[in-house]
Amino acid sequence: MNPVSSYLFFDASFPTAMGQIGTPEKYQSFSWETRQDLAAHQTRYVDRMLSSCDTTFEQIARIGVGVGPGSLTGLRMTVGFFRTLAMYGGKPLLGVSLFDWAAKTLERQGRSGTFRLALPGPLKGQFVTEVSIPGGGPIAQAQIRFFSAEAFRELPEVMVIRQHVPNCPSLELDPAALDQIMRTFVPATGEYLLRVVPFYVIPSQAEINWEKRAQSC
Amino acid sequence: MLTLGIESSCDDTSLAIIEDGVRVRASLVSSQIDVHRRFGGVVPEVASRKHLEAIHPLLQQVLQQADLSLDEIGQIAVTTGPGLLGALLVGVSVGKALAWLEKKPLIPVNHLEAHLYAAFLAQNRAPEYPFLGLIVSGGHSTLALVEGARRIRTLGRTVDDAPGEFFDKIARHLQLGYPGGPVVQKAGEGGDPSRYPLPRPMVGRGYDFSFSGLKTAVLQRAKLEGDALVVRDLCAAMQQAVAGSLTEKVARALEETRVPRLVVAGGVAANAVLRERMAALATQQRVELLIPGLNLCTDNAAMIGAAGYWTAEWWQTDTLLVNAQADWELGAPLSD
Repeated sequence: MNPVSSYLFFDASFPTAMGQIGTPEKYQSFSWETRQDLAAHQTRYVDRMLSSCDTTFEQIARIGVGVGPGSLTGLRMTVGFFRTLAMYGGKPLLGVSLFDWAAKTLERQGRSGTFRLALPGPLKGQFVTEVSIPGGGPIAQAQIRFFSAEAFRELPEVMVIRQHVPNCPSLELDPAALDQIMRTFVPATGEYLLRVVPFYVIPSQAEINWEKRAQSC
Repeated sequence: MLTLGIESSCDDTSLAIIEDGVRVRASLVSSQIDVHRRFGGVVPEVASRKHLEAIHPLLQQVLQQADLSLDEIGQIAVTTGPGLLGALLVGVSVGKALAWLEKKPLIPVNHLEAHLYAAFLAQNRAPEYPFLGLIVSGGHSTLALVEGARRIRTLGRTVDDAPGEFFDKIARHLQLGYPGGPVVQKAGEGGDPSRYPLPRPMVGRGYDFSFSGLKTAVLQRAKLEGDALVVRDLCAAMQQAVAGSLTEKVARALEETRVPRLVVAGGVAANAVLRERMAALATQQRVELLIPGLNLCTDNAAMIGAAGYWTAEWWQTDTLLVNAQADWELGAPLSD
């Protein structure tokens, strides 16, 4: 019994953006090489997802948007775009971290225990978090740390997502896991829509420099 | 026709609703000056983050202030360039979502062109062409002949620092605060500009501007004077130097183009010395001078809404497919 009849999901935390649309009968996944064209094609991606399932936006019961961690520009554009659709289209909005998606994938595989997961970050570094399966709950920004490439190499037993790293097992994100998240997780509504924001795990270089200067003073 | 204007090209998030291109129904600006002050300038990454925080609450507020619902808006005008790319993309994404959802036209607006329309909006009147436009701000100094909507010929632009950037850098060096324009003006009040003679950059040569050499001259003077430096006089002198350079170019352009009116716009157009010099020039050359009030000089969405209204018919393509363009030049088409 699916509590949510239909949904629309989009993630642009990587140059290969992912979309998924769910209807009462099925779900369908999409991916696009966005490069520098995400802003130009946002509406086209949504149109394509809707038309592929012969669905209209009015029939969509909830929206999901990737909140990272990942490309900050891509995340800000999609959160800005889909939050607008949610606010003015009267739809609930679910911010989905790729780590949550990964955790749900592991759960569906029947795995249990604590797993260290990594997503690629800037300058060949890695965003890393630990999840407990089953029942670990949604990942918060505070649970994610950034490791430089050198520091990451020292970490034991890391499972990598959306990348290949020698000696690390990789995890393929399961569209069925996302389907489950989109249909069962509690989305934001009303004023809480504003709390759906990208994960800002690492500060900008200017903030790092300012912090250093403040400490030295 | 009601136009929703969206501006997020730099460090101000702004939304406004404009009626028939001439009347401001509501206008709100969320400034990030306090956030960027500690860095001594705008940090692009921080600016983008703050735009995303501010834009939706501001959208709700501007609709409330105008006592309107979104479906009463006829079209959406959004700053598409030039500006900081990450910052522009926030506004463009929100504008596109609104246009797509409400099935309303989306009008890409050039931020610099919009500054020129602010001068007419300030007087609640339609733009009258042709005119000479001078846009001076933290990121730009451009002199252009405007012959119609989107029919603009750039005569000159800065080859290095923009005047606002020049003021920011000097203010930071003299530890006067941020942003530089207002603090330099305040510090120079009652000052004697003749105490520190400064060069008038690129006077008599073409229509391009340069303020880098002037910056070096000011910094050298400050170093030379050391503790004896009279900041008030130096601030007065450098405002005269900037205003003198700009006025000389505009005077020659007015003589050459013979247009009946002059528009001076952008954040630096708020400078009292520049306003005085331009007023004197307009009187001398018998042209109409339009300078917006201080609230419309700095970045704002009211000017975006007005520019969107007056340029809407120019767009024949599917504007939902446009992208933000950080280096979109005044009068140039948007890149595919």
